[in-house]
Amino acid sequence: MPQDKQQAPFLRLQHVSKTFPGVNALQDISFDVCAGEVHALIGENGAGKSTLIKVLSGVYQPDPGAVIEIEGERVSSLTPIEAMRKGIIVIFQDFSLFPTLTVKENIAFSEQVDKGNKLVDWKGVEKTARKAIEELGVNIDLNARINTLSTAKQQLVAIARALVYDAKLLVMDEPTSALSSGEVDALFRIVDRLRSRGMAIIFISHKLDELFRIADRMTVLRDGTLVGSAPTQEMDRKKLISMMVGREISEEHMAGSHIGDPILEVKNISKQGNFQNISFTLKRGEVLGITGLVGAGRTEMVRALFGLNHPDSGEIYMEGKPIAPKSPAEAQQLGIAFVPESRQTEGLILQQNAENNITLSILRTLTGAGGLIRFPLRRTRAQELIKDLNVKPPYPDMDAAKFSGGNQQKIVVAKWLATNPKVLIVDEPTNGIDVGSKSEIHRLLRDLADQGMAVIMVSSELPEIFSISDRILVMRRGRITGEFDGATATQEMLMEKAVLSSPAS
Amino acid sequence: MPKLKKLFAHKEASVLVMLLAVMLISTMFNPTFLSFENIMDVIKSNAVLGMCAMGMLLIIITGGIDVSIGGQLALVTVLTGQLMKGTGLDNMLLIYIIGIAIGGVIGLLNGMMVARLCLPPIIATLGMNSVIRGFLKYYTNGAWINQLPESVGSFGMIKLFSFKSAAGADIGLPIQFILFALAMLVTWFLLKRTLLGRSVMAMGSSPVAAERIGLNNKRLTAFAYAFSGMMAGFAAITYTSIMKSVDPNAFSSYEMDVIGAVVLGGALLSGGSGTVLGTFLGVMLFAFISNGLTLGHISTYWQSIIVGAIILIAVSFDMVKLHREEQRRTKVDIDMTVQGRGA
Repeated sequence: MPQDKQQAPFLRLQHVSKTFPGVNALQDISFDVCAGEVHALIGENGAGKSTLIKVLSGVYQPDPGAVIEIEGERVSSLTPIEAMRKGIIVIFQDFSLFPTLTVKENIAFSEQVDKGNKLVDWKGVEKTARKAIEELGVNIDLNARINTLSTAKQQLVAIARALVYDAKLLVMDEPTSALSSGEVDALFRIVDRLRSRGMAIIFISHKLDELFRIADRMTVLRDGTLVGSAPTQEMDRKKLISMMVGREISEEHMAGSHIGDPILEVKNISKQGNFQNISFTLKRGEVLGITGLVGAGRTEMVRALFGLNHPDSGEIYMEGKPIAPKSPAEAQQLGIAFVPESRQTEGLILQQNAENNITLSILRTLTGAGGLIRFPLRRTRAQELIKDLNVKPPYPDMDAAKFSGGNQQKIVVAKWLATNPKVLIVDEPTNGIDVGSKSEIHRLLRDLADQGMAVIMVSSELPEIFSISDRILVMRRGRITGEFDGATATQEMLMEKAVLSSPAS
Repeated sequence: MPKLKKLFAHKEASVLVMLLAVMLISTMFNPTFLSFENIMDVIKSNAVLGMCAMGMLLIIITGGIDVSIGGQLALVTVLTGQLMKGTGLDNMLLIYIIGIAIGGVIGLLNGMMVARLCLPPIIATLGMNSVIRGFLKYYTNGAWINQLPESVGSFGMIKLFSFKSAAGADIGLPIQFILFALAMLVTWFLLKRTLLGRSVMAMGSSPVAAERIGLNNKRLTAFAYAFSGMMAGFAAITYTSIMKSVDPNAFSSYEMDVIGAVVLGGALLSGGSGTVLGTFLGVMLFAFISNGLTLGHISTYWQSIIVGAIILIAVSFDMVKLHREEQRRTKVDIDMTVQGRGA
């Protein structure tokens, strides 16, 4: 076992806290990683993994009182460049490669910069790149441009580049999220190789099956606090899942009162590289929660219902009639509305006022003679919706950008309610919204369903899923892996379906 | 034929094919097209375009654009023209250095606006162009500058390795050919061999990744615009030596020709790609289409329509290809080991 030959940890963090205005992103975290060890960092979205990585790579400065030790030496403050010089290399999910440059140049660019030569030593670039690729024991054309390579190969280039930096601690953020299982095996062989050469590795992943294969130690974060840390042999899946989900569910469950007939039926829709064999039924008056990890294909699937993503096969029925929305305009005609995940970029026109935003979807119905907009009618309609949804402050003339996150979201919902939809789809409806507004949005969605609308709510936050869902679907790797009753499901049940390929023993 | 396929994977290959097609068609309509004299004439009259395109290439590689290139050319021709007329300065080397310096300063100003003030490149350079044009009207009252020193004109007439043809005409390599080649060599060396050039390329490819490895994106951006300004200065003096006089209103909407040639040469406006060879072929394609149409006695109105259409088609082709690739990209790794629904 690698633990036996360890002395001092390569990196040790003690009492690390990080506060942003209004948020405790990290609270008193102590964490260490040793040479020759793969240390898995686990937690739901928003648990604090990314913040911790940013602290140890020098991007964020921790709050005073934190102690950071590298190879037993205390560092007073760490900048990104210093962290790199000390051998802490983060491979981000986007890899930070230069897509239009060749493999060899991507691998060796930083070395050329560090040498400070005015001219590029192409022979040196070739040599460095070849050496790094050979160390990984893989086969990649050094002259290929990055944007012609598969994701798996791009990742290998990013790892090869880390070797050139003389990495002593390699942080891999969700490295397997875009790899096929064969590619994951290949990656793990390389991780093994690096570990046996004494490199410390922090491995962030949601995929518990994989973590049990590769990690020596596991640390679980939740809501910015450290839940626990233990060697892999002392962990099992059940224990790990309970550590991940032990989150307080403060809100009561709001169950639906008038669940009616099916309105939307999805039969076996698939799209290559997006989702596979998706079937479900949505009823009037129902809130259907869809959860799963980021990258499970949830958003891709609901976008298909709204005409933004066209399935390769399968059928969709609305009130018994087959539909195949080709565009959002068509979906809107059919009575489907979609509140996207990023309200700032996809949901709102930030520079325009609330009235303009709310009435954008129904401008055609607000025109009079000659197709001109009837402004008094538009104002009235906007004011009605602002009142119905309790948008604060109730000013139709205020720019969308100036409203709080919760009220911005209400404006987006108002825009879609104006079209009188039968099916309302919301994607991460309370992302980045404060707690008070969150429950208001939940109340609103529940009320809309109780008035007869059918609601689909995509969310990664289990408490949110539990608060209003009548039924819950779990997705994993493009498929629906579980269906639960909203009143009786537990967090463990959902998490298990979201992260494991086989049931926990 | 994997080798042939590999060749065609290079963007330059498709530009070359288009170029050869244009030359073939032009020759069919007018056999004098392929004569040495005609080709040298085309290069001579498009050397200025080519030099500007080399500078613009660098800016487009950063993902930027410069629409003040026509103004820069006019400004340098007017200021150096006044200087030559006023002082009788006729040392070509010195005139070139002054021209390059003026262009470089204007380019640097553009670069500072883009890099430091974070103005969108098109706004910064559009404003710069308007300022320059206004200044030139005020300064010259629109009057041409004539009576430049003799040696300026004779420099423009220089032909190397020249000999008399049977018909008695002077045949040789025009000096503009050499100067254009020099501009290409400098740009090629910069982009291919120097760390500075590779850094500009890297930044254009991914600004975030460039910052993460410690490149100074602001400085690199400013450099690209300054380099383009210097190329414009170089081109401006070359132009004066061909024309032997200065028209302060010249080069209006010239930026479209320059940008068009660079884009035809395969550089992407999104940045991070583009080569000297491709840009050269783009310039030549642009030049030979115009020349071929002229030799075919087709009106200049049509030339502008045809050149514009070719640029639009070439860029649309790239964009459609990019969109298709994006559509095909895998977003979710679907678990293919499961049959049917797991629940």
